[in-house]
Order: sequence, then structure tokens, then C-alpha cells
Amino acid sequence: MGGLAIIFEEEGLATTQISLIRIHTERTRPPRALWVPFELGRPLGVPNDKPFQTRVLTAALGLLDRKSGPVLVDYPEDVPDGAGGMDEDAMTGMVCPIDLPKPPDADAPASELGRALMKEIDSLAPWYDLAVRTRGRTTVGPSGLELRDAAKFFAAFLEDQGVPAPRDDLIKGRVLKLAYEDMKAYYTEAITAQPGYTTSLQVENWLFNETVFGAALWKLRAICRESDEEYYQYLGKNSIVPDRQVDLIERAAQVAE
Amino acid sequence: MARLETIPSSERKMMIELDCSGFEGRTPFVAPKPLSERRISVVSTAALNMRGDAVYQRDDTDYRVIPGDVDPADVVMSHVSVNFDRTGFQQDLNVCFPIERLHDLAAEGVIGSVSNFHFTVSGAAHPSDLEESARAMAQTMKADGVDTVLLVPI
Repeated sequence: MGGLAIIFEEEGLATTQISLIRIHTERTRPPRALWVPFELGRPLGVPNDKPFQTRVLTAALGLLDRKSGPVLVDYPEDVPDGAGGMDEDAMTGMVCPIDLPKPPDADAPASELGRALMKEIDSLAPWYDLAVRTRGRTTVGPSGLELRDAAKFFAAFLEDQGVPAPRDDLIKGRVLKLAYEDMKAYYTEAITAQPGYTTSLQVENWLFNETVFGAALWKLRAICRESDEEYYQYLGKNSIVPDRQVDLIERAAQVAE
Repeated sequence: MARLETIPSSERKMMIELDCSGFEGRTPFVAPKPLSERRISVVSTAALNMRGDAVYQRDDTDYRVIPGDVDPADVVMSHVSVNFDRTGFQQDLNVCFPIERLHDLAAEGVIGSVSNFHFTVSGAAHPSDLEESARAMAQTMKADGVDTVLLVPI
């Protein structure tokens, strides 16, 4: 990000930027940067909080008055309690309000997983529809597939990695990635239509630990990590399950030992 | 949350070791002018694209255009990383691409105006590899009368 600022400034365009990873900005030394203490993915801090976002934006734009640089300023305000990431300890007692099907055993055939997946998708539909109505938009769609078609391809791939992709203009691994990211968007848009799921960790813990789809994503991760194909190895390394979830599982395993 | 100590150890290690080279000794600094006279374009590294546009692929170094009068319903994300929150974006585009907040500030006269063209790239690419795209974006911005760029990470 800082490097882009330097290029634009070389082009005669004044720049100001938000910084999320302070050490990267310290190293690159762009002309003007406002470091914010917010969660990755939320550089303006809080969704649907116009005053908060405006304060952050105004602070970043305010750096344009400086007469010399580089300038790196720390933004003094953090997000309100409950509006950002939260400790795992605070998750105790969370109950999913949606009656989801019970995930099949990890060793169950993929076809059984696929059937459970479709049932789960159907059970979430009222909440997804509510989310779309409330927000006036959905972020499902980059795969270019209908959600159920994306899910069918995803489930079929778990059973047979030789299954053809439903579109041929991208490599199969990329279609797979777009398909499961669309499914993630569907699930997370649905669950955040419910009260109580306000932080990303709450949503993530639910998705990866309490849903059929989450179990399937862990299964896909294992398949990809054992694949001989470089693209699938890349997916399995860190493009299916967030590092935070892997970290939580490893920590839990250490405690169990 | 973006404090390094709160990020999982494997991801933290990657961030600490990330190559930020290529910009040493480059310290351009455009002279200030009143904010109320500035025309602003946004550049985001969130790999956002208009629905139906080409999605981002791994290692892509090209860019996508987001029009200034964009309807948030038309914006999707095809970033390859899973290690940042997307639920904020799902609820409100402005939490990572503050286009409506900029229009608010323009309406209040705080800034001069909002560009007709905004841009996204994939932050998964090294900034040095984005130089050609950045210079192409700059030409479009200048043709649109832009004098200021707001850069927003993901």
C-alpha cells in the first residue's frame, strides 16, 4: 500500500492512506499515513457506523495539510466494545439460533456430506434472504454460479478431485476457490442477520466448528494439502481455513495434551 | 485487532517477514493545498470488482475500475486471502471502501469533489509489481482532474 502511495506521489498526485499493518508502513515510508488499530478487513473500523467512519476518514484526509513528510500518525480511537475481534473466552454460551443439521462424521462419505450440505444451505435460506432484504445487497456471486451449483461442485470435488469444473474459462482450482468463497459469503451473510453474531471471530467460530460446511472446508483443506498439484497445495496452505482457526485448533490440541 | 500481537503466530511471522523493498530512497511529497479544493480518487487493495467483471486471480497485478456513482450492491470481492474479516464488507461497503463517506464530505464542502473513477488492486501482489498499473491509474485520475488519492488497505 505504501509503495503505491509513493508511485502516485511521483506522478504528482498527493496521497494519504490508512495503514493496518504499522511495520509495513514504517518500512515503506509513504508520504502520509494514518495507522488504525482495527481488525484486518475493516480499515474504516465499524460497518454501518457513519460517524465513526467519517472520523477515521477525516483524520486520514487531515494529513494532507502537512507541509513535509513522511508522516505516520496513530489514530487514537478504537472500535467500541463488541464491534471488533474478541477473545475466544468471551464466546462461552453462544448458541446458534438456527437449527442446523448435525454434521456427519469426519470419515463419512463425501456424498453424505454433500446431502447434509444442501440441507444446511436450505435451512439458512430465510436468514440469507432477510440479510439481502435488510442490506439491499449480497456479496455472493464472484463464482458466477448459482449457489446450489457452487455447492454441488464443491461437494463433488470432495468426493472426486477429477470432477469437471462448471465453467471452463478459469482453472478448476480457481473455480473451486470462488465457489467455496461464495458459499462462505452466503453462510456469513445469513448468520449475521441474526442478533449476537457481531464480531468476525464469533462468525468464524460458528462457520468452521458448528456447520456441515465448516467440516467440509476442513476436509477440503486436508485434501488440498495432500495433493500433488501446486495450486491445490497453495489453497490448502492458507486459502481455505483462516490461520486464526488453525491456531485455535492447535492451541486446543496442546491444552488437551 | 490489527495490532501484531493479536494476530495468529503463523500469520504474524509472515507479516513481519513480508518483503517491503523497492521503495528505498524514494521520498516524493506533493505540496499541500486546501482540502476543500481537492478532487479525490480511492485506491483499494481489497480486490473488489464490479459484479460481472473479471475476478482477481492469484498474483494478478492489474486493476479494476469502480465508478464514482457505484451502487454498493454491484461491488463484490475476489481477494484470494482468507485471513481478514469479510463480514464487515458484507454489511457495509464503506467499512473498506468509503465511497459514500467521501460523497458525504463533498456534499458538506469538506472536500472539493469525488472522482468519477476509483480503483482496486489485489493486495496479494507485491507493490513493486503493481507499478505499471499504478502509473496507468494515475493517468486516468489526472485526466479526470484528480489531484489526491486516498489509499485504503484491507
